[in-house]
Amino acid sequence: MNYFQSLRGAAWMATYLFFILAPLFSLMLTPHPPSRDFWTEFSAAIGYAGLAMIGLQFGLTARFRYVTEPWGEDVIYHFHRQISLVALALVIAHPVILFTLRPERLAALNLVTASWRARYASISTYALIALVALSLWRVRFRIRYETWHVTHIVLAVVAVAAGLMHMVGWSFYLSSPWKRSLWVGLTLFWLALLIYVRIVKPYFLLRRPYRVTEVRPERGDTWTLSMEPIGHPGFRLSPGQFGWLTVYGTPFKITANPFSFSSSAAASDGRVEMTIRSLGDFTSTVHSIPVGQRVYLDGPYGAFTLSGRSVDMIVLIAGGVGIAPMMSILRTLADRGDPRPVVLLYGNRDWESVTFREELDMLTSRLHLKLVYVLDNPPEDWAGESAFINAEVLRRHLPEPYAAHEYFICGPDAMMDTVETALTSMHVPMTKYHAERYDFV
Amino acid sequence: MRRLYADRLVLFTAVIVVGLAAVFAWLRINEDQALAAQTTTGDVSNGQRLAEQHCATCHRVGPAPGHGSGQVTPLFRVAARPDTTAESLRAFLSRPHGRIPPNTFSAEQVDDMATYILSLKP
Repeated sequence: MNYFQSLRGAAWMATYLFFILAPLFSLMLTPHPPSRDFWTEFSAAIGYAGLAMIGLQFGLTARFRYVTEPWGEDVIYHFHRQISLVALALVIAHPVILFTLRPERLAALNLVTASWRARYASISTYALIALVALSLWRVRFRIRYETWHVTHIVLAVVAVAAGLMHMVGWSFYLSSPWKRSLWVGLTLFWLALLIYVRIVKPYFLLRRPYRVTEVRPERGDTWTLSMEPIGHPGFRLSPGQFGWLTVYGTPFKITANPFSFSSSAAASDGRVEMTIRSLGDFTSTVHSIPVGQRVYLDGPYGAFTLSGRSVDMIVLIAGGVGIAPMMSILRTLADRGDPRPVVLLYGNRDWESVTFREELDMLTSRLHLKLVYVLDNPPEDWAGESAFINAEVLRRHLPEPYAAHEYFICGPDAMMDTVETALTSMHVPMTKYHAERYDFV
Repeated sequence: MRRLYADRLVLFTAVIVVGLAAVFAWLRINEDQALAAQTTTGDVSNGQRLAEQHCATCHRVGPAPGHGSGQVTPLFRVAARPDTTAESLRAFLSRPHGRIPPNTFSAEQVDDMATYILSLKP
């Protein structure tokens, strides 16, 4: 993340807070009802803020490039997950405070006898609890990703719509027509974001299909999917970015899969490649995709790309199929004749599963490239690095000052954590490295 | 590190939102202090008349049992609750409840009724 991106990030953070707090403080404008005690007012405020936070969740996952770029997709999705816990805490604290002040209000929890405005509150809260619980324990409950995704969307819509009905029904702050219009309008805007992602955007993607031109086997149970645009010029790719791939079905299908592009960004004919390792889910079916298959690509996304800053060295740290975005960077640098020194530290299980091994050797003749292979199970005559990439390995192969280089890290979670900790111990600031995780969704 | 960074953003957001929600509540109660003080100057007899006209369908109106329909909490019991204040009554009477539609009473009428109900405090 460079200085400009940091500035954009701060601006977006301010915008995010504005969308939560401005509608809340607008309730103070006249005409407004007389106030109650502090805790009742505080309870109302966190209820309104909680609903606004839930509504904004639709925006965080709407794949707006200019929203995700300053942070990276992994940070946005992690924020989306964690902030939902805060929103849930606020939504639950709202009635808990009211019940504590007046225990007889607990009668509102009885869905049979309660008023509709109380029922809507219960429905909204229960939907939100179910939504968060299913997200936290999807794997433990053995829920298919596609099933969870549909349920997630339905519960989110119910939580927001019922929350709004509760507010309007209670009518304490929203008795004024313009305040009611503001909150109803905001809710419709949040729901419109969902319609944009699930209907409008897929409609445009439907008109920009791709055709699979090759399914190429690579080392390490990995496949490269080559695709060309049909009847359109494709998109402009930055090396290291990723896209959402839909193979069977239309873009309206609920679940697309995110994969890094591995092809050079210097290609001018719109062709792109994704390199995918067979890991047991959709990825295990990639080898059987027929040539000529029509596919859809939503992208490119991601901030895992060359910043354009003047750096003395580019350091790529990959684990397993984390090599895919690195290949895009290396191929692009080679095609552009970039003279800057590049070091690739590349961790793999064994020598035979080193994806792109032969091409990497060839790239050393086109780039100022140093290759450092790190193997879990090296062959007996192996003279290179073994075990895993840590601070010692980095110090052995990189010149000082370490903070002068630009780093790119992509691989399994454990490797990412180890490398990020190592870079911190080497006094490399977070602004000098980019990280891409497989499992951000 | 990047997840830690995202966690810090979440914590920052939570602190700002909860903090400003508290500011919202504080501003609200301070803003209405002057207004709330006027409540005690409401017209008790007009408040009683309004209560008999609008509340007696459901509530018992008056200082003791025996008046009104008695379907829900009598007004003298509402007045006796320890957390019933001029502000809480004003807030309650300003929004629709039961058969009372929105915007039934003017601010002065709300003051009169709140003053009347408080006068029932034992």
